Amino acid sequence: MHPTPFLRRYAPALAFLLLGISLGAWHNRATDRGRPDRVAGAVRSVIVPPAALAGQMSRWIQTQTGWFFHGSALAAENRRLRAQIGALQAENASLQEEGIENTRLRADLGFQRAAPYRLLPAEVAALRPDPQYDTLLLSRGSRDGVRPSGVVVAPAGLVGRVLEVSPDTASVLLLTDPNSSVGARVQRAASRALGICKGDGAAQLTMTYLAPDADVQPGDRILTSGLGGVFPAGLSIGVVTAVRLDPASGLKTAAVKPSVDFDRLDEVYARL
Amino acid sequence: MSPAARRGLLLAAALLAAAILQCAAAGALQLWGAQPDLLTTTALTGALFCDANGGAALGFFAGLFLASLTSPPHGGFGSLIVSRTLAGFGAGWLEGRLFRDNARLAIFLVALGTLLADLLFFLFAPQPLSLRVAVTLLKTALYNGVLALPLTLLLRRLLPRRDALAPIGSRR
Repeated sequence: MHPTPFLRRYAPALAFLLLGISLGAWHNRATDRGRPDRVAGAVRSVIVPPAALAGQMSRWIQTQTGWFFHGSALAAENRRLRAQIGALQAENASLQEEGIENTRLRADLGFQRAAPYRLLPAEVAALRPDPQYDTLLLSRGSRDGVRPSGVVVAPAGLVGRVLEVSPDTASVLLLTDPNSSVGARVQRAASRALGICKGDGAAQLTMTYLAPDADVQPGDRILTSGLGGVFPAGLSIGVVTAVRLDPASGLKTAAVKPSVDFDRLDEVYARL
Repeated sequence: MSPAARRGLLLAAALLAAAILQCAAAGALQLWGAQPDLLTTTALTGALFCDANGGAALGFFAGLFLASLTSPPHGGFGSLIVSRTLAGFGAGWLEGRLFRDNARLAIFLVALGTLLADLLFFLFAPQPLSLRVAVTLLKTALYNGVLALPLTLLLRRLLPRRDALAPIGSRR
């Protein structure tokens, strides 16, 4: 019996390999042009609806049984949150007053008004579907107005930016992903130091490119700077936990704890 | 339905179930900072019940599902598919020679297969690699290996016996 030639024996495997390369090239071409990849969109439309349903059921069960496992802790948290709501309501009233005054002063000085936007609530259908990437999948897509490079936020602050959209889903690159970076600024009026916040797959972010004499201290709140054009200014990124001087570059680097708990994201908002 | 068709359908259903679980529950399955890659685990474990071509098919679909759910930046889409296809091919090829029906060896095969798939992925689509990323990859590989044992035992019960597919003495 003659041995079967390698190519003939493994022709199906080679065909799958070539198909994979072709799909990758097709995907890159589509996303580079800002168009949705229909193959990926079709796959997601099969997987996401049952996954979203399973996620909803899981959350419902957790809600219904939470009191049993965390009864006393929930009561304490409820009391703390009620006290926090009172303080935030007072702060909100004060900030609204300052906002009105700010709008009036900006109009008097002829400053351009910030573009109005709308927040679209979106359920998280999958959080980090691939452990290698810090991404999430939203159950909202281009049909709802979500666009590539759109900004995604949570009540606590910035979540990330939209990578790709299909009609009913959108994938989002989280701030903590090593491929993610955002222009950042220290909120404190006496500092206003500028830098870039980057993820490295860890729970904390790194704020780099801080000038050697930048006034950055642990406890400082970090906001988006608005520089770079993707993220608008003023979104909360996190709080500085440590600062060090890099002897090699002579620049300061700060460790930043994100405002958002990326492990507990159930619902976020896409800025439209 | 023929045993081969039944086997194909069951493995396809297992892969689809893994994709849904990966979306809905992978975050909840985190242990010591490690998150399982259920799609790669299912593909590599399923490859233990196939030949090299079947393993490549399972790897291809696992990669396609994973890439579609993740939409990785910087050329990662095709690299995910190709790396999983090659890992599935390797698992199926080795199974026919070394690992036939050994559930304990499946643990090592799936852990090593996951590592190989991730290394190939980083080779095809270089990403920012730090010590933390390397540790995460290692933890995922170990987690996948642990999950391979119950999955192998489950698939062994569900799938038709090998002798129903290929007569004794026939070439694989």
